[in-house]
Amino acid sequence: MDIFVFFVDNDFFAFKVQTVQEVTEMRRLVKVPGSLGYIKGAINYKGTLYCIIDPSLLFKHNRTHDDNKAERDFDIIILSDDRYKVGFLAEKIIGVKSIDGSGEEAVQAAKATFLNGVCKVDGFDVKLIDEKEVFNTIERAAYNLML
Amino acid sequence: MSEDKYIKIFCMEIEEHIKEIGAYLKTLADNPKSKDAAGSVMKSLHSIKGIAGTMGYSSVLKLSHATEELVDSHLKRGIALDDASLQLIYDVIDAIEGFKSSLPVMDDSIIKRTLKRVKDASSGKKPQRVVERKELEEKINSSVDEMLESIDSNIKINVGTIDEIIADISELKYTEQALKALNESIRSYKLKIIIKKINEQLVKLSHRLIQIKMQPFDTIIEQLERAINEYCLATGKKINFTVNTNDVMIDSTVLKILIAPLIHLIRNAVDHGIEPVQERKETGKTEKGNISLTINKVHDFVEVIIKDDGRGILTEKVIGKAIEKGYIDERPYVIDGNFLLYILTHPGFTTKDDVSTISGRGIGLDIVRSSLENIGGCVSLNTKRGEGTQLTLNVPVTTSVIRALLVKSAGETVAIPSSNIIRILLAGGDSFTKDADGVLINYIHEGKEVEVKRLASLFKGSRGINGNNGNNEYNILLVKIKDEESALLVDELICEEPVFIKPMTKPLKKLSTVLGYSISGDGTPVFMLDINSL
Repeated sequence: MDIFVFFVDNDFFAFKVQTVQEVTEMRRLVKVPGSLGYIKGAINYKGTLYCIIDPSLLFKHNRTHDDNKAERDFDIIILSDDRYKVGFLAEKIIGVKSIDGSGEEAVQAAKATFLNGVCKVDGFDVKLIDEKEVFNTIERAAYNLML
Repeated sequence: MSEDKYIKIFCMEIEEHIKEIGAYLKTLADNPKSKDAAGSVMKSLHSIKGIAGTMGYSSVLKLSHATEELVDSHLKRGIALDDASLQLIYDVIDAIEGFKSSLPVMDDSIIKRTLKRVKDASSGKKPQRVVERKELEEKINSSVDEMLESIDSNIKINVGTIDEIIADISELKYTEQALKALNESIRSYKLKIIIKKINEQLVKLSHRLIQIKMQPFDTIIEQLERAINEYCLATGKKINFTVNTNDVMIDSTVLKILIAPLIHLIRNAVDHGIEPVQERKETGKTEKGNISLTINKVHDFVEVIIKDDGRGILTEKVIGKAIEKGYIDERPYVIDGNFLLYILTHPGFTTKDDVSTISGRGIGLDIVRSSLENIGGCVSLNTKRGEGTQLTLNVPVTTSVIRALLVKSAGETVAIPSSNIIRILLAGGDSFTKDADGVLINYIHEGKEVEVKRLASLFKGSRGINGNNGNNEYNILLVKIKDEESALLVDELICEEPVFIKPMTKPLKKLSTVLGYSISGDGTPVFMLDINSL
């Protein structure tokens, strides 16, 4: 199975390679009023509004170190979902990696929200993000704000 | 009725029959033996005869009668109408047309000449076309007039085309904003004046286009009434449907989007909300169920209220089903309309059992909600067991432009619809009540205490100055939130201008804090705040 690996705040993350549409350079993120903490902001990308998520904040409340300055050198991974317009912050793009086995056998089950599991790449743990779960949680949260 | 009116009616009725004759003559030209077409020509001539007789136009009566006889004699003898006869009938209708155009003068000179030719043809003489030069000229002139008339000075234009033009204007608006940003460093007075003019013209142009798109809400009422009648016939229920549109005008794009949700909700109200006659009698209700549709304009929004006096939603069953389907883990502490909507509009929440007024329609309701969200609208629900259900849809009057105040808080620029703002104030620190830590609690406005809200609080981790400009003065927007006045603290006021808004994209679409977004001159998004969410 091929995965797209990237690094943020001391953690390796990945998406299934077909989930990723493209990588674009960092630009000013506009804060979204009343949105969740891990939504870092929004950008106008090719005329469409994209919500930008900080993957490290999906699993912890704060970054390990203050890297606001370094954020300027980050990249944005644009996902290819037709309905959901979402991008993820990446401190460093590692690239496409092949992991042994296909699909689920290659990914170790790890009990955590937003994760499809964890897999080993070059000896490192890589968290495979469940992007659908992220989308659904944002939508549910929007309702909670309304309630 | 005045004679003028009779003439108008005569002309209108004659016109119909003339058109019909023309159409059947075409059929006869292709198929001269068509008895049906010949019979239809006779029928129309007969009708013209009757109408002319009523009006006392004896020459028209005689001509149509003679022509009818001519066609009849052909039919009876089983002879097809040849080209010459068909041409003669064309001349008859032209003559009648000519007479009609001459009214009220009643010039029947051509009618009389044509009558002679018809009589000749009936007596066996081969019909001959006699066209005098003067008549020919008149004919050509009238054809030119007809052609000119057919080019209407009003043209039909697709609403989509207007939307595209408005989108083009919004692109120009971004360019204008980019120029404005550029001029901040150049500081040219001349350029400033030019930008101002461009802005004024763009606003004027977009407003004119939006006005073209406006339609009265009444336009779709007939369709809704017909739907109600059909559902009543299908279900055997009796319903009293009352409508009050308050003459509200709405963007035709929005109106189009509203049709399907409205028909769906009304069908649900008839099908599931209103009880059968017997059940209503047993519960002491009137035999006829009541469904009302009320339209109100609230600032830049249109409020559509659909209310029925049916059985209401069986809340407990909906919750049971939601737990069974895994949408929620347990019974929530607070159950209100928003919560019920959250469950009922879940994709796939469709039960075939009759659990509620809108059950079995889960997918449909989901579509209703998403259609509204696509245009920056929303839906809310109120229900009372045994008393009925009320659904309120809120949609923007237009999807294109909303006049808004641009403000800055926590370093972010947001747009606030001008219609929500009562007053803009600069208040000193002593105009507030504070808590022990000096945090502003209420603003004292005209002797009244108004709750203080902070725009910066919407931005997590914000470093907003909470409206204090450093001189112990605060920028305050006096706004109305859910019928209550509030003092909204903002860091900086930028300007008021028409903002072209786009609907939010998923997964932020359901975010209740924003109505949509626009693109600023530097290409970044600017969110339009839904003040009611504060």
